[in-house]
Amino acid sequence: MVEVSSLAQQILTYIAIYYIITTALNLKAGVTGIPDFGHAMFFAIGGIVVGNIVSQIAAAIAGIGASKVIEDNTVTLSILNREFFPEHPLTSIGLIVLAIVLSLVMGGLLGWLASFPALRLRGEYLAIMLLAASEGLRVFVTYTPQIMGATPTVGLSSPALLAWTGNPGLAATILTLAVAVGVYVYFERFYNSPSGRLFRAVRDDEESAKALGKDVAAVRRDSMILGSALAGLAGALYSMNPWIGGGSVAAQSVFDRVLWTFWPWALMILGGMSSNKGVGLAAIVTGVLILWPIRIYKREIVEILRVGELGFNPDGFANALEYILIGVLILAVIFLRPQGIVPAPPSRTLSEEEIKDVATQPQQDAGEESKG
Amino acid sequence: MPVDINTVMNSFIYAGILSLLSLGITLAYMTTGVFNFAHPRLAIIGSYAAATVVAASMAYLGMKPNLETFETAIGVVRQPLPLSVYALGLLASVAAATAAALVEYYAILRPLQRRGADFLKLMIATLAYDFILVAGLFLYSTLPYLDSKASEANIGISSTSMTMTSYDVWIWSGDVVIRGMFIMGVSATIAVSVILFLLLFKTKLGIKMRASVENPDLARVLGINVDRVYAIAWAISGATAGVAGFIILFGTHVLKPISATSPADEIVVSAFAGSIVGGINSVFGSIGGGFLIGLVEKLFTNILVGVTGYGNLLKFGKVFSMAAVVIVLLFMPEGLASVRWKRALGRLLRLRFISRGVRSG
Repeated sequence: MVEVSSLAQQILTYIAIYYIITTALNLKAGVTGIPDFGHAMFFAIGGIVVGNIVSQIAAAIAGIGASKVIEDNTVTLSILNREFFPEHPLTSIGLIVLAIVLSLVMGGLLGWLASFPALRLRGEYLAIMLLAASEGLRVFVTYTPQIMGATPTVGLSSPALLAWTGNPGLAATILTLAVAVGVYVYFERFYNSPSGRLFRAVRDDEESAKALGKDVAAVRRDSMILGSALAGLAGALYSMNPWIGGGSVAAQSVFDRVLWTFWPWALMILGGMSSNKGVGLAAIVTGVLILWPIRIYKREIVEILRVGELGFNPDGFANALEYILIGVLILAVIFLRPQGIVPAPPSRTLSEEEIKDVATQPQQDAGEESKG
Repeated sequence: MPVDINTVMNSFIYAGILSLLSLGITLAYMTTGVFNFAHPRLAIIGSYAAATVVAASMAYLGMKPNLETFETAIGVVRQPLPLSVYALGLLASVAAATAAALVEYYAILRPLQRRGADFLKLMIATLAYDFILVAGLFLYSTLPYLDSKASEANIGISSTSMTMTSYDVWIWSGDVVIRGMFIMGVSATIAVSVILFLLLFKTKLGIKMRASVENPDLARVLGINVDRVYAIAWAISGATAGVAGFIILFGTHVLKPISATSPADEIVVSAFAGSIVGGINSVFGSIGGGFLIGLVEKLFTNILVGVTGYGNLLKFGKVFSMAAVVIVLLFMPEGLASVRWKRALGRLLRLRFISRGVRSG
């Protein structure tokens, strides 16, 4: 039996991280209609920022020498984590802010690069192109020691940026949750804003959006940039988190296309495409209904099913059970409720008084709005 | 010469596997409009079925692999297993993969299409099916029962990958060692192409199939059972995956889905890349695309290592093949098959027949 409080934190972090990364995908795929099957690469950027760049900066500040982070990763990081971070709360906070900003910027930058093919290719070709780009980048990063360390499976130790709080696990959970809530509030507003409606208009009918004078290419580009930046942020939060990051950032785990591309897709379909509430709910449902019971009651489930007698490895069986349950859940949702758990709501319009207000002020914002 | 013959052969084995997989993906996509993310897993199912059957029949016959060699006209041959066991393995592989493909079609995709699910939903449904298959294979591969039954075959719980390369046929012809799976990989691809060509252009079923792809509604009006035609296409898709699975088992190795969180099956993306590079609506384009990706990934990388002498490049094979995908798609947004090879290659182009809407405009 795993300790309940730590498990609760793990599940909460899981929900928050998956909410953020799925929202990022939702913006691209659900709202704007770009089938991004290379989502994992943007997530990985966040991991690289935390594991590599931030660690190097920290080492430089601590006076160890930035190059040591790559050359002698385990030793350098254990010195940093033991002696430097717990003693320097302000520097740590600064580094956290830096990590968040950098992951947003670099994720956005990669998204901007990826938006060039996104403007040229259509449907399936784009999906596979992004998948291929992600896979190529994964292999490149995995085997380039300057980025992810010499051993691909081990990777780089992650810096304990939250060690000064005394309870890094809890602090990381709170930080991640806070960011997730912020993202939720932002997107609730965004989806109902004029530009949110424009994004959906491009997805629904590109031609008529064009006919209305909207710059479709710019919309798709913005969507790629914003969504990818957000995925980078999710990656940075994941890598900072001692619960699910596991104290290290490895190319294998941050580039994992099952975890960071396919699962977000599954969650998005589960919750309802372009539905903010739905995505949040899907993350909660999978976290609470599938991961929670399986991880807590692993032993009991395995005992009840008597898989041991059939010769299965109990731990492996529980792992596989998670996969089977998520597969069945996705199929059930697609079959029974194809629009998702919470279908995308219609855009909220202004209240009657506000519309009257706008109507009485002659033509003030109309010019602004049509630019999108 | 910068690469040895062994590397060339391994590259062709890999390229053969990829083009068979790409072909299956393309067939499934053309008929039902579904990108089958579970397709490479069908091949892995085939591999496990073949391994199980081979191991079980060896255990049943009380037989050890025969590592002695004998002389033939083409050279010295080492054939560890009787031909019937290989045939049984191939049969099991094809049967298992076909069954899995048909289950996918009948149980998941057809009902979903009847309910009007769109392209993305179907894609995610295949992904969900893939999750279930991964878990199933993972559970299957941890059964200790298998380990004792098939200790020779190394399916079991103790290892991270499964392979039967040591049971492959080897032929010493002069100085050159030819691997059975090299012959099989290349000839299977050619054979499948020829059979498909004959099927599509010389039989009634082929006409039905092409009609159902071109215009399903019109085909229905003419009395063609489109659902059955699609099912047949899916069966062919599964069967080619089964052949690929057999070659994977004896020619390379299967990474076991070790932990359910990271089924690191590298081949998935390459197979999709082959399919899309060839042009997703062209059966024969996908075979070419598969070969292109496979050869770039293995042969080109090895040549590059031979030329530059920088051995580390070997790990970056996938970077080159993925770069090839990106480059091909940037210059030919609809894949290789969209290029007007017609003028350049004359009659050969007749092979590129099935292309929905490209020729008819």
